[in-house]
Amino acid sequence: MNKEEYIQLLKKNLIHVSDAEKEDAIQYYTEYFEDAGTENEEAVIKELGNPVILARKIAAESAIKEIDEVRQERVSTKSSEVITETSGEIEKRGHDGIWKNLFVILLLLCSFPVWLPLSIVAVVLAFVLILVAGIFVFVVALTGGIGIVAGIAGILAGVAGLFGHLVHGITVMGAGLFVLGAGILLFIAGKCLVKALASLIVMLGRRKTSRM
Amino acid sequence: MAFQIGAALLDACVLAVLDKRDVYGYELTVNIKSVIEISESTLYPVLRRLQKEEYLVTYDEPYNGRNRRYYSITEKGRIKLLEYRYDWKEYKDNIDKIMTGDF
Repeated sequence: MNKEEYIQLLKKNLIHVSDAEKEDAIQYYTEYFEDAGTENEEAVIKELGNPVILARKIAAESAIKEIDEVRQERVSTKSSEVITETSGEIEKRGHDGIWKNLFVILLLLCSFPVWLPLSIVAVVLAFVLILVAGIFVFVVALTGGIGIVAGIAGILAGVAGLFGHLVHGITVMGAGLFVLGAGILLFIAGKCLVKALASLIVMLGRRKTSRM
Repeated sequence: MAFQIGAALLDACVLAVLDKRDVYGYELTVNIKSVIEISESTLYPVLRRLQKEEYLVTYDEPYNGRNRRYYSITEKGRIKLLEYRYDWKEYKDNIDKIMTGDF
């Protein structure tokens, strides 16, 4: 096939397009061949591919453009009979994101006497809350530790007392055991709370900084 | 080369080339093909779309006894290109974040 035959086939198969579209496409590809030069004629034909298929691609694109125009002309309901077989990936970009962003920025600028102190308070409050939680957890663990020590001391005292006043000794020993148990429990609880608090802070920190 | 270039990105690239100077169809294709893998038939629909949106206009100039159609970016096209440039920077940075494991 040579250039003339290719263009002829293209022209013949450009059905379902307006005359203006047809003329424009033919002119584009005729000029394309001419600018490529006779030495590249074969390579261009090969890369353009089957002229029948190229004609269909052009017709599909033109139909999509027409549908877009119709959509813009009337306020219509969704029509689902849009051509789904398109050449390549057709994305719909239809929004003025830049104006929306500018408006938001302007709004923020005007209202900053309100949100600035509020957000400072919020940050300080969050910090204080974390501090208080930390102190609470520390106190729990400390109490646990003290409890353990006191419990052991009580047991020892009780054992010592056993040799003197039996009932007194047993009572003290029992109390000591109880305090020891409570202390151990509190200490374990304190450790768990520390772990939980740490992972919470990490999670919050990650949520704030990650934004895809 | 694993990745295919999308329609909007192609629009942006064509506008970026036109921003530098007016070109004719074959010249534009050669320019873009030197950087991105596209088919010879890819750009015609892009140019038609950009023309429909009034981001470019065409004019004819005689050349060696025949006609050559040139494409020229409009003011509206330049504004759209600014938007595209902003979007591309954001898109590029986000993909880089994932690809370099920085997330």
